[in-house]
Amino acid sequence: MKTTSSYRWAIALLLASIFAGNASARDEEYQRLLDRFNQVATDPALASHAPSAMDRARIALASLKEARRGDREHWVYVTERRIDAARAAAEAEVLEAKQADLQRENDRLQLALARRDADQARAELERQRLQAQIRAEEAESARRDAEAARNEGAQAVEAARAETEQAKKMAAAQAKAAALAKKEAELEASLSGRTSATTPAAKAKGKGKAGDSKKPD
Amino acid sequence: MTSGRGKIHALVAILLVATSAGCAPTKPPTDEMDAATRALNAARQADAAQLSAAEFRAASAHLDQARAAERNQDYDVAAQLAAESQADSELARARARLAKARSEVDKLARENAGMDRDLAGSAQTEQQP
Repeated sequence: MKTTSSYRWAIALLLASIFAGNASARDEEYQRLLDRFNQVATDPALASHAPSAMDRARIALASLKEARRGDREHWVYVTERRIDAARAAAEAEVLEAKQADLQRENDRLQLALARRDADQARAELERQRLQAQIRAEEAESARRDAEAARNEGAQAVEAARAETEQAKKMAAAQAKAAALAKKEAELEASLSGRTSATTPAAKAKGKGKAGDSKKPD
Repeated sequence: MTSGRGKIHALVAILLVATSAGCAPTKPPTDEMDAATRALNAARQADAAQLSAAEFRAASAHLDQARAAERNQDYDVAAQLAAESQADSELARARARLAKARSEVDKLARENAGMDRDLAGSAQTEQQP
């Protein structure tokens, strides 16, 4: 009877230790996941983000704590993923906020570049306009010089032509004068020939006239 | 003695009722299956198949197993597998979102640094005589 009682006590102790061990393992698993959750929940950068994902993780943790032994493995799996999903969602929100800041900076820089490019284009346009203006002024100056040169040439030609004409006129006048002088001399000679027979004074006068007619030469 | 036997019989009867209640088929986990299917589709649309491949594969495998359990009328297992698939899908989706955000941040940071250099270079050129 005493032996039977001892066996009973031994079996009871064995069962108690098994149950206690299982409970301890379960507590360790729960504590591990609770610590993992708290790392996210107390992180100053993440704590205020992804509230719905954090709530789902919190609910899963509570379910794990209350789960029956047969469901614990399932709830450990689900809770672990919910906590990881909460962390990933919170980190994604932080990065998305940073992305929004970077996008604003990107817009500002693009605007600055566009303005710089527009300024450069305006400056280049102004430079080309000035160059075109300078070229136009140079061309106008060259045209005016050419025009002046053409005018000078025409005047010179006209002057030469007038000079030639004048020379021709002078030559003609000289020829006419010579012809007239010759004719006069011939007339005087013929007159003196006819009067020499009448008076010596008339002869002398005729000689003096003949000497004067040679002067234009 | 009669009283002791009666107690034992009552205990056995209670155990049998409890056991039969535990083994009785529950209803198909339609809501859980639908939620898991929606979560997997949402993860797929978030490009989780490419950006968070391992989690997406786990979600898909768990959903397949849940459907198989449902066909076998193993509804409790089907419900648990569907819940695990949903958790996998949500994790896959969150990690895909994180990967996209990280990629965008890296890209914008590179672009901004390039534009900063560009502007700084042109400012130096303007300052030179």
